[in-house]
Amino acid sequence: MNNIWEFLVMTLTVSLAAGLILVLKALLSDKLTPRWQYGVWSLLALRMLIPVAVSNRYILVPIPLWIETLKALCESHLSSAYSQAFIPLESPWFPPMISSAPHSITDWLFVIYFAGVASSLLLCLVSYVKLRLLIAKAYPLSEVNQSSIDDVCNKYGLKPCPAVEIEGLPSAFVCGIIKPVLVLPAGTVTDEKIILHELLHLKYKDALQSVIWAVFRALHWCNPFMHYVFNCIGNDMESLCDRRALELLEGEERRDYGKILLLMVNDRYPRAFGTTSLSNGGKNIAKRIACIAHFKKYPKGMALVSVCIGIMLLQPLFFGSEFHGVASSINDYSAANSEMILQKDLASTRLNRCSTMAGAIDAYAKGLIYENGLYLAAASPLSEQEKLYEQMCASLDDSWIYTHVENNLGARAFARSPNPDVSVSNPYEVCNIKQSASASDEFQCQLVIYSTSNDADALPGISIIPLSVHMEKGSWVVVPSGETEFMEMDENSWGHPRGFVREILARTPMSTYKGVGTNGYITASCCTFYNVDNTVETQNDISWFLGSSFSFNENPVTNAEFEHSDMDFNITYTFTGDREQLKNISYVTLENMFYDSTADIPSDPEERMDDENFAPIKESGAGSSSTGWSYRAETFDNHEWNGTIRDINSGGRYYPKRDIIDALKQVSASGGASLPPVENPEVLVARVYIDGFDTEYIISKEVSRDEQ
Amino acid sequence: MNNETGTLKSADNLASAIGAVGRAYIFIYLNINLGTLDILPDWVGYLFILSAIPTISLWEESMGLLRSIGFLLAIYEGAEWIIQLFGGHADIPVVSLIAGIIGLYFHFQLLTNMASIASEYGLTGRSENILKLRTANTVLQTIAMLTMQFSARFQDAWPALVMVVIIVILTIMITVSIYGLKKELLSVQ
Repeated sequence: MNNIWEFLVMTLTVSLAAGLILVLKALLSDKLTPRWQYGVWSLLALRMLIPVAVSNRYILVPIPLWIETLKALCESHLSSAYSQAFIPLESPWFPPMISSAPHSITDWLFVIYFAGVASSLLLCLVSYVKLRLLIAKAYPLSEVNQSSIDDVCNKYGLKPCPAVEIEGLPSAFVCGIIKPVLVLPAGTVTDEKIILHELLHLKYKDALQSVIWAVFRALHWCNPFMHYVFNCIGNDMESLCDRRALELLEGEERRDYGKILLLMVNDRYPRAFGTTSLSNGGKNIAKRIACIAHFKKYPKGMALVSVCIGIMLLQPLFFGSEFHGVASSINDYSAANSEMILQKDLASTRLNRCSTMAGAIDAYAKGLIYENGLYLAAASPLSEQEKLYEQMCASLDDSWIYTHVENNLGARAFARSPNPDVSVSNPYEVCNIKQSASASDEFQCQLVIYSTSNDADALPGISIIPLSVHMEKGSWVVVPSGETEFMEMDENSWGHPRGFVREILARTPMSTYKGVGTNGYITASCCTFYNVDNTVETQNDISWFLGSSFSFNENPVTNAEFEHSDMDFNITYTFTGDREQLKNISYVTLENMFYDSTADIPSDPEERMDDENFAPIKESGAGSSSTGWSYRAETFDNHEWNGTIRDINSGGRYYPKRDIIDALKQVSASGGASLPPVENPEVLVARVYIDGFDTEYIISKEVSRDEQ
Repeated sequence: MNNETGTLKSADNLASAIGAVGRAYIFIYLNINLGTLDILPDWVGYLFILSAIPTISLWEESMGLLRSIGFLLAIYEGAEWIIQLFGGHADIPVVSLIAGIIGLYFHFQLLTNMASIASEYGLTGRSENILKLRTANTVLQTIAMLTMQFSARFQDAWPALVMVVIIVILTIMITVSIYGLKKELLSVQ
């Protein structure tokens, strides 16, 4: 715990959990036994031991979001040393730590809180040490009291412990955890029932439990509600001990036990750290007597329902509910018309960062497409948050809604369906994801957004944005890694946007293959395309009859996965023979096939010829065989061959969602390969037929960027 | 006065009160909707139980403990019914959670008392049957609540649906068993 905000998240969350338990206890006070009434507090103890997650999950009400918003509103006007406006809170856990000198009022508040915790713990320690010193000087036990202890131990099968007597004590108590001592008032004969009560405290290690509660009390020293809760816990512990004693006592002894408690109604309550005592103050004793009167009235056989109630509380107290980080609807962001709402929306994006690479790219792409600052914030590094906030604030001056930011694309995105495998029109694709050479959790890719130019007369085109995607504090973030390019699409490309994109991306391919033959050479570039699952199903009153409708999800999906990916190989054969020969060539065919390794190449070159319509053919066209061979044929009846022939081969390399997830896992585990596939194909085999004659058989291999 | 109590504490009255509990289970666990109107509202079920409590308390003192939470559950279900009737959706997770927990206790205690009455009249088989159904109901209600909480988390509806089907079958069995107890009490008389 490093700042006052983290303390607030912790203490308010714990207070809510305690409040819920108190309400249930009040409703079931006369229905379930003191065993349940005290036992249910163990859920609170567990809640306090487990760090409160400052995330998109919350208990009962979204306290982390409220505190994160409040922190942003306050800290944006301060220069605190312990917390920053746009850096999300860590999950708070004790102990509180002071890392440097305080600078602001919130820092000082945390210092005061820290001093309070230290003082509370110190006071506990001092009072315990003083008590132990007093016990060290105490009188040895009188014979009568020793005999009483022996009798109680023998009668109820309890373990004895060292005992002493001190003058002027109002009541007996047990002190210590490791070497507990039973302390009795000197000069009087202590009733066996009081000894029984104290020895039961000893048996169930109540002193240890009271130490744990005292430490929690110190951590929440400035929360009066938690003081009340800890007092209730102490009283419940005593009521449970009463219950255990009453279960051992019989008949008149039970009445006498009540009378002993009655005598203590006016006693001062000597609560001390590391001790347990029969007396806990007049008001509380009155309640305990009421419990004793109710002793036989608790319904029997309630163990099962008691446990089930505890189980039902586990989920809300430990897992909580989830809120959506980014505005749940594209239209919702129009509501951000005040600084407070904007800060709340930004806080929610900070608490719900992108948990997957695809999710981060999706949020970033939609941020650009819809010019939404909140979406960009969800995918941007924390260092960019303040800049985005200022941009969004500035948009108000331009009569824009707060969340607007300029996308600087010089273009407006539109929905295209670049890939027939994509079920709904998708305005963007992710291309050529490559792992960075410098860091295993950093990737480079190109974001392709299908868009129209802002110039109304211009043709539509694509915007290519080079991106770097990396991990930051356990979440994926995106930063642009180069200049954005907008390229107009000609009318021929309009119907085949993927082909246009392929042409553009071939300039900066994912990998390149090269091979040299006797009359020419082969070059091939490889591009990968990724699509995020952005299909959203909409149902209405007649969906049961007509079925659901599907549309593009306009909201960022921060935990999205890539739905599928595919690879394209752009293969070119360049003739290097005598240029004069080109005049006489009437048709050329290029066959090609990728193999994962050289060993996979069939020894018999004719083995591929499983298709009677396969090459060489004497008319322009393209196709592929069932074994994955691709071909392209061109005829030159009316013109001269320019010396190159090009084919596009997907190589059957289509990767469903599962393959991509597996590949990502392998990448993070091995820190190696590109995506997908885990390994690029090793070789490209190409055969060239010129005028029907088998002219070239070229094996090409992947080359490094330098060799290109 | 003794005479009056004696008249009240007749097996006829008890059987009638137990019949009210049986009717209550039909209202509480079965929902038939006409648009937004639930024609078997849960709050009516709780009112049936509340009306039976004074009579059953003469045999089972601990039944009286259910009066206050039965009243709260009736108010909660009534409020939810009215909100639903006007097309609204009552979704305050804390309130639903508390209502779920006290409802769990309520039915556990109620069925325990039913079993105890059966035992008092020497109907051992019926008593054991009700106790088994009570235990199954408590465990299944707990699992159902957890399933619904976690289904919401993982956006998966089928586990909750399966639990609803199982609980409906169990409820029918409980209702049949309670009516069986009523019938046996009348025959004992």
